[in-house]
Amino acid sequence: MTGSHPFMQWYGGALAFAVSLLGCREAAQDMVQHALYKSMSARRVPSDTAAQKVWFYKVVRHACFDWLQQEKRMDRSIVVEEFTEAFVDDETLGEREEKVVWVRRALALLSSEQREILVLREVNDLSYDDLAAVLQIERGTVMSRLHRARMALRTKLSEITEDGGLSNANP
Amino acid sequence: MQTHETNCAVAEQLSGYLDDELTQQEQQRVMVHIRTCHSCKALLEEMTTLRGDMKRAVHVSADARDLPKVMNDRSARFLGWFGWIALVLGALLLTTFFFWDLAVELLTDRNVPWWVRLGIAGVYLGFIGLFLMVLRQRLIASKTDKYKKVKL
Repeated sequence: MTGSHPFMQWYGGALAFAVSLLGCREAAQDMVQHALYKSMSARRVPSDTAAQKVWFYKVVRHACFDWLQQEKRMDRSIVVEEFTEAFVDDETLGEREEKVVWVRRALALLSSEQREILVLREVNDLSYDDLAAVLQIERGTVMSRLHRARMALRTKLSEITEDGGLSNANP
Repeated sequence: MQTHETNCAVAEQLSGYLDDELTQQEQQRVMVHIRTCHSCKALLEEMTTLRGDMKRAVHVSADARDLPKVMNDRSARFLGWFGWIALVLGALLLTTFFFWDLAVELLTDRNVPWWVRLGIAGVYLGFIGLFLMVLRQRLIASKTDKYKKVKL
């Protein structure tokens, strides 16, 4: 369900992105709603779809950072349990499938910087140019940061797997 | 879960290869390398699997209950527009009436010295002249702006 507004097509992805930054579904929904509202009221919104997508994710990111600043959580830390519970599984996915929970847990143990780049790439399929624009970093930095994030996720996941899903080490 | 370590020079480029973000030359280099390097090949396969797992784990279904109500609230949008238009028109009408009435009163009042009336007329004419000048400049600028079609 995407609704009639063009930005609604990125709703699910943007919500996942906001959850990855805030670690809380309710706050993430508020931030995405704020971004959607802004997309309706902003005077200068890019006209082509690719640029709109980048613009929208930037707005979501800034809204999340503002919220974190208000909440005085500038270390951007999240609560592992709250994060893993923040995703609503659809019924076709085996509810509480072990690996899914492990991946979420491993993701929660990464740094905010690593989580955001992974979610933007793997879930939202942003190109390296788009990632550079949204994260406001050089294109060359995107590949190295993304690779480090993938390797960190892999390490955390293997630690969790070895512990039988009990690992809860801080990042 | 088995993890594969690699210290090869192309390790970082494996991510770019997986995402199809390398130049043709770099892509060729990585392709040739993974034909002979088993650890890099295994790492690439592992990263591909991890990507699929990530997609499934972080998928957020756009549940109808989650969808922002503000997007579909047409009445609120209509009322918003109506409110703004009414407010601007009202303010415009009141301001025009106030200045018009003031001008008529001052200019037609015989008790006001002629030089004061002349000054008031000058101020009004000055404002009208300045307004027309700015309006003309804006119109010319909008017609001749060569960056108008540049997309932000």
